[in-house]
Amino acid sequence: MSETILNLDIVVPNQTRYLRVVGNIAEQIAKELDTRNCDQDTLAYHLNLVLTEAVANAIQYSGGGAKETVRICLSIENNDLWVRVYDHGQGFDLAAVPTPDFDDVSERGRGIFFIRSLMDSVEYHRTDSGNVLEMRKKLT
Amino acid sequence: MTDMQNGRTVVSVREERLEAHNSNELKDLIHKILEDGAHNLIVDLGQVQFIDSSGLGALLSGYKNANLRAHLRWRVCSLALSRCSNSPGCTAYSISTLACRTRWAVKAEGPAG
Repeated sequence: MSETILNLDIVVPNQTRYLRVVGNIAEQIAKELDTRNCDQDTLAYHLNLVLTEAVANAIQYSGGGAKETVRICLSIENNDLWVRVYDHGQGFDLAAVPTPDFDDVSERGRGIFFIRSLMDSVEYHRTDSGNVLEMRKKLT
Repeated sequence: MTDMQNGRTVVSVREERLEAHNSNELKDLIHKILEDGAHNLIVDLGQVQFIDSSGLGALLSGYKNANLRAHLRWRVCSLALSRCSNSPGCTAYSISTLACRTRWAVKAEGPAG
């Protein structure tokens, strides 16, 4: 039977000024977790970065006006941390996002790479109520 | 904040976070300084605790722009990402690796100078 320890639902306006708020929430949650096999400060930084990248992506691709929102769900289920970021944009093909070429000093295209590097699984689904970027991190 | 120190233009980023919300501002500022003819530019990140991909993009943009100009010296210094510097898989390591691969002159500690 699955056990859900934490379930947090956050809705922010789709404006980049709220990235700091979202990142800080992620850090505070990481510092409250029982992390036996990883450094808490490192996890906090990683979560901050992952959520900042995911929400910035959702804002960029939402295509909506200032009244649009981005929904973020954080939950811990069976020692897995799940981060889900919902957007209402046209979506994108996650599988088509390439690994950056590090010999090329391109200014863009590293956000998904950071998320993939820091999380254990990353998926992007289209649903009836919008799109969701679903990321999982094993805590033990 | 931009300052002149011994003939060098120093851009000090007075933010804890360099991210999608403010990275374009830094990118535009660096480009303007280069357009105005600066020969020795230092970007001081001493107060920055967090950089996302767009912040990194702004620095890479500056690097690329500086690289197009002959005799221009470009430095990024005081990269204050020490919180997770001991973890081999950490973000700071990733960013440092990127920095090395793009041959930036990255000074890990110390003030601009």
